[in-house]
Amino acid sequence: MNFQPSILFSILLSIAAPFIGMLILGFDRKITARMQNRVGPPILQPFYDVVKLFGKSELMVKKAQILFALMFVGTLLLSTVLLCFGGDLLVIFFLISTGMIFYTLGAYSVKSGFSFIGGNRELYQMLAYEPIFMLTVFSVGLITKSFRVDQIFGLEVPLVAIIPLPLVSMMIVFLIKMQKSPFDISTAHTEIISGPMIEYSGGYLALLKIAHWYEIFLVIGIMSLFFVVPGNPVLTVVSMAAAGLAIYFVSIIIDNVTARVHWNTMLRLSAAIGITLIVVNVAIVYIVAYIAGGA
Amino acid sequence: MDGESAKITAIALTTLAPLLAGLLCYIAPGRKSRNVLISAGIVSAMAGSVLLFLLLRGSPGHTIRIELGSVAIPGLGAISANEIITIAEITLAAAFIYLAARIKAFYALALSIAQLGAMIWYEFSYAPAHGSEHAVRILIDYWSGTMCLIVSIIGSLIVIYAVKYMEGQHSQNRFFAYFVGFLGAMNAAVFCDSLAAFLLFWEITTLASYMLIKHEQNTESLQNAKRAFQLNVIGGAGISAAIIVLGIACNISSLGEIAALEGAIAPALMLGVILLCFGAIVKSAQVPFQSWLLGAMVAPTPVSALLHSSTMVKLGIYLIIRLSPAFSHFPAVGYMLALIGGFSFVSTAIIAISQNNAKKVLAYSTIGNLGLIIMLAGIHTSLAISAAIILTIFHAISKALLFMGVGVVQHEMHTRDIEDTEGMIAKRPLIATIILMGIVTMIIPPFGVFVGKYMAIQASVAAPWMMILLAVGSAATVVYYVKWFGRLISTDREMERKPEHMSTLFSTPLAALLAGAIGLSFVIVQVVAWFVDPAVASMGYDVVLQAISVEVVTPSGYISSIAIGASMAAVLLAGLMIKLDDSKKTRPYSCGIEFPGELGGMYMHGYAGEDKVNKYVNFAGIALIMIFVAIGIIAMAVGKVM
Repeated sequence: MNFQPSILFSILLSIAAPFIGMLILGFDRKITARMQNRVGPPILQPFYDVVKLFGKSELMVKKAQILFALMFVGTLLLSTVLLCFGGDLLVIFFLISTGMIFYTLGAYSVKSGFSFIGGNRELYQMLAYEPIFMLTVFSVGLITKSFRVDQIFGLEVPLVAIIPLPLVSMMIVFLIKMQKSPFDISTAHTEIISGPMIEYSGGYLALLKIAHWYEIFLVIGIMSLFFVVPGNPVLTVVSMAAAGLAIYFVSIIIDNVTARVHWNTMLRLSAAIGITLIVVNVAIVYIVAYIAGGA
Repeated sequence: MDGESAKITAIALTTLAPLLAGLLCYIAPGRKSRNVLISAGIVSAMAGSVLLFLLLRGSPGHTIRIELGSVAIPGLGAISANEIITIAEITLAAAFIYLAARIKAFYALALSIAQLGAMIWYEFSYAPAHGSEHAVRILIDYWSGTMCLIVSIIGSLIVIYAVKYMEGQHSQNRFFAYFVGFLGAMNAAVFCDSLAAFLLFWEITTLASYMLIKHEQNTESLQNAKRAFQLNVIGGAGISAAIIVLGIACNISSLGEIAALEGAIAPALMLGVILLCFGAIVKSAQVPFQSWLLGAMVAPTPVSALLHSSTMVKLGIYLIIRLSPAFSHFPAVGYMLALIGGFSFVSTAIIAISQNNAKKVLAYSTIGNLGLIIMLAGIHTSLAISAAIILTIFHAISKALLFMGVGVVQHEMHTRDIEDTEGMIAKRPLIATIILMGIVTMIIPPFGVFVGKYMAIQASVAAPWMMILLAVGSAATVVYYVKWFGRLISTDREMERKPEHMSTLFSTPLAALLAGAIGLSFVIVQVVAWFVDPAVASMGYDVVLQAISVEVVTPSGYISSIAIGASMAAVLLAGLMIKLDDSKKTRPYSCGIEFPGELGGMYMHGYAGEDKVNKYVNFAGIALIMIFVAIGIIAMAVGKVM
């Protein structure tokens, strides 16, 4: 039996998506604070920040920045809607990566030292996580025999039972996307003062923050697709939510016990661990299938 | 005019007319008469290609087959077409020998002499004795028809641009003779079913590209032209060897026979196909033969635009895709081609990050995209071939656009260095926008190249290990294009945009290509229905791409370029309507740190520099090619196809 999310559910999820991303960030700050024996900000702090930013007058260097910020949010919004409606996973992936291109271009469009370095670092990050992300999406397609998200709900066993290792690799992507140690390379507050975002202010900075919420929702959403329990909607919701929380908790721990690395190290880690794990997993799947087929 | 003569007319318009116009350019007395000849050549090529495509739709089986038995030549009587081709080939081979001797290209000299001897022996001694003389066959299906449209239309736009670009330069007669003639030779090559005739036009493109690359006549261009000549003669020798192997061992003399083979396959056929693919790999400048195309950038920019987008390198692609149905008989050939193409894709994408010369970045990007197409041809599923054709079409448009854009910068600002073009959006908004749009249409959805890449990933489900190369290569591709885009738009304040003058001979072809790149991407559903699916079907594949209302549906997914494009355009328009008044403008924040006046870098020389990686890349490339050819020889030796 295929579990097809109803249209109403898809619409509601698309609307809720940025808030889910926002809550994840809010909890993140809270838990991190508790780990460091601080009280920490309220859970809704990211939301308050954005509301306040919208109320501030903006100071920008040039109009191109506004265009890139809008395109960034726009493509991620489109990608989110496609994910919620069970669209094509490859298109969803490419729209996220297009969004990141616009974000980087927004940073590059201003001839400013910090913003420029931020843009460069954003590209190093892309070089590190895009292959992992793409290979993960590809391995999902390989197992599902389709790139349509709704087909994942028609599988016999959850994806995580067949290809668990890409999830480990995706942690690298998730850490980079969450701007967390050891990969908070592009925004690196203490070094280059938020890098790509430095030349934004007011409502347009708020747009970047909202786009970031979407980004978090998308990455964690795609990762939780591995935990879809076919034929059982209730268990699916529970296991996806639990998986999302677990992924997220692991990321907070890693964030708190590591320090920022150089981009060189990031690239090497992503190639040596990220890509290798996926390749090993897919190889195992093939070998098992070959033995089973031969027997 | 009846059907048959209409077809002959269309073929003549796309082949003989540009060749003849080119020849006449040589003796044109002045600029005006030369321009008339050039116009006649390109107008007839464009009109002919459209006419031919329309005729294809009405032809039985959507193919046009013509056998040229003998041609009556006044004063000489009937002479067989095959003899004409042979004589032309011998003349050309003699010219190659003369040329090779004059420029001291000794490899090419030795190979040309051997090739001439072998051809003479085969055509005059072996073939008549064994009764394997064949008529010259022309076969035009949707794949050749699509190639002809690419060559004729994009090629002609580049010719228009070249007329302005070359104004006031020396030896323009010779330049345009080869430039316009190139289009005719390309069209003729894609129409030829007979291998011997195909080789003739193949070699003409080698000669023409040599003459165009050495146009500047300085030390560097002479040296690079020599290298291009030497390498392409090696490729041509591969094709000649294939003709002899296929003729002697399999009695096969045409491309169509190879693609349509069924039943037991002779090992010699496998070797023949490998040799043909070897020629194509050289022509398409795959690693380790990339140096000739990189060196070719010393030529005037229109030459680069022509060689990279619609002609020359695309002939190799055309041949491999044409042969791809045969790969199912010997999977090893498909695997090796996928590996060679995929390796070229990933290695050139990484090296391109380290380049700051705009033409060199584009050259590496061309080699990479051709590698991707060859990889897809190696995978040879219907979806892979569909993706390969989409990439061929859209890469040709975007690459012509980018080269011509970079050419205008070079022509007027005298630089090819990407760092010199920092902030060009403010100084020369028009030309900067054209380069920016060229980059956008190369990497961003929903444009055609992206759709091709999207399908390439789905196609590699049939060969999953290729995906590693594809994933790393496409990430690196995004990095070097975004970095370039970033330099062009980097300014520290909003600047007054100055009105910009551009010659109509520059702006018309640029505008046409830009409209094509964007417009065709929006109607990609129609592109699939009119060109891609028919071309795939005409080569005997099942059609798997469905064009359903606004979506292109693949076996494992779907993409709606119109929906994505319209949403992104809506956001862009909304953004353009926002006004940012001067009171809200500020200067960049530097936190009290002095930054240098010019920002640059991110070339990653440690990872991607030519001096660091070239030796490994070339070594791996040579190894791959040697294994590829060795497989064919081993197949012959053990008497079994693999």
